[in-house]
Amino acid sequence: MTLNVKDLEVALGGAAIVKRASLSCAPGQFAMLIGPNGAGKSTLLKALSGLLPSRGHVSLKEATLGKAERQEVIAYMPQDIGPTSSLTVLEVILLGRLRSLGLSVPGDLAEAAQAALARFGLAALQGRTLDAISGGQRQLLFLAQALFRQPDVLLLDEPTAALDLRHQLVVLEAVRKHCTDHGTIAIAAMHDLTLAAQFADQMICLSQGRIEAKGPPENVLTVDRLQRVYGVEAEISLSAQGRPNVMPLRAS
Amino acid sequence: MSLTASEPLTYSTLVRRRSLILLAAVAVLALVVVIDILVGPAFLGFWDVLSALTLPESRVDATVHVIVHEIRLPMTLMALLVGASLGTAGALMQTILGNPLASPYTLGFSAAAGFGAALAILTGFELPLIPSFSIPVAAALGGCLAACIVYGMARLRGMTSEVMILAGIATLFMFQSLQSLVQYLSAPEVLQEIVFWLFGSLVKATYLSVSITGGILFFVIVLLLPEVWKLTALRLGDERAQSLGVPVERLRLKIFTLIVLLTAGAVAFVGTIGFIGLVAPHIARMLVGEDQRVLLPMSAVTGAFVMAGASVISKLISPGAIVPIGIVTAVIGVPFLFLLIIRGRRRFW
Repeated sequence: MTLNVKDLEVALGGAAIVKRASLSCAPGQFAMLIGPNGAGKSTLLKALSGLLPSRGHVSLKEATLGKAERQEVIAYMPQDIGPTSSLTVLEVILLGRLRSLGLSVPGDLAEAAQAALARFGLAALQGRTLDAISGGQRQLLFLAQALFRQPDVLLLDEPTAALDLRHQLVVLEAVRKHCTDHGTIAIAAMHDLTLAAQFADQMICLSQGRIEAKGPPENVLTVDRLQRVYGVEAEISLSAQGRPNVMPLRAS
Repeated sequence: MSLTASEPLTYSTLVRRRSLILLAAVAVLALVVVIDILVGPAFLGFWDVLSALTLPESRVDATVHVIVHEIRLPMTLMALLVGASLGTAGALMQTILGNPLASPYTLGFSAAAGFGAALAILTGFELPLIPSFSIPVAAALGGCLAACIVYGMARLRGMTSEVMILAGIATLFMFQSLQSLVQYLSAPEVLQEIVFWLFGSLVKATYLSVSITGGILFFVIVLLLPEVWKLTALRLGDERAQSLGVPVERLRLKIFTLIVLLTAGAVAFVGTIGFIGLVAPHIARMLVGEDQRVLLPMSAVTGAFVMAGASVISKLISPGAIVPIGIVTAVIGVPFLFLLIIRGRRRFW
């Protein structure tokens, strides 16, 4: 069930935002998409999920995915923390299985939704409305919703942006486990390079719409590349697990 | 892994609570309906009305029978159907456009219907076989014309809520100006007829018009049933809804068409009723939340309640006469809305 992307191109308002992007992710792989602001990370994720028109070839299990198929098998979580609305937490998570919902909610589906909330410590909030929970709780909720969809591919745009240190780990560990348990492919756009490196099977570095490098974190995160792509002087050391730790020193 | 303190309100409790609120609203509505049938300029007694409603025609005074069956019942039924149609249309409009100020009135449909009716009155337009339907048909066509303009703009620039709202507000101002022009050009007696139509009134309700408005409402409800969860998903924003598999633009077009039908069916026979489509969904949302399975029926019930309540007040303001209902719809709805805004814990959007 490998995800293959070949020569993906996205143009918005006449400007090329993503240029001939090609990548490949094996089943169960957790890939991290890195790059500076404006590099095209969100656009690439949206195009992969079918939300933006694109050119190029996207296939899963050897089958080409059109826009409709992508929306079937790919779950996309935007980077904002969602609207303020008086929808309840359980209603939001139930929407993850939109096609199974009828005028009444089947009992087993409601139970599964409650279990999905419990995995993120949100079970007690099920009757609360979106406007009555914090930004971090909303981010957890939308991740829980994305996982509840049981997608083949999970695309996450800055999934830890609104979270404290502990909940950043909670989210990434949950995604990691889901990928391992279900063979789901996850691609997350991240800004925290050290945190990304800690969980990544593969890192994809995007710069000005082009894929600058891809591969194991220790190969992608180099001092030269950070200087070139981010314009940052940094020191990189290896953790006890052999993962790169990035210490930014100054903007050059 | 928990982020939270314990929270007693579970979803099943919430569902039960919402169902009870909806049932209570239906009970209150039923009470207002009874009062509406009892009240009228003919000052019939309670038992007279009850006998007319329950006994065979032969055992009831002929005048009482005619007043109850030919005047009051059609008016009450029309009030219910128009209120329910406009309440539902308003809730749908606010949901698909993601805007709390959206309603068939604020997007110009009602103003265009008013223009259509005013033009028909001014020109003496008559349909060949069904002359009594000339003004309703002209009003419905006016509403559809406004919808076509808004839709045409949206086709050019994309079916986004921003484009539709801007196009709708421009349409509102255009048809209000055209209405004023028609009124300016009218002779005094024609002007009086136009103004009376624009105020909105139930007095011309018949069983035929009730059947048409009711038939449209039923048809729309049937078409809405498979879409309720998609509409709920739309409240998460276009991007999230789309990523959940909702065909956002197609859904918006379908619902927009249903709103046009509901509005045309409602205003064609009773005239411009501006307030219900805006406020009934807000009252409903504050009471039962955003789940469209409950919000849409609650908006319908609330709209019907405001309309029936306004009908009662319109008959009580001036004893022996009926004030046009469009004048008093706000009188009953606004205090209720203010109370909910001040006392309610729930956000109103």
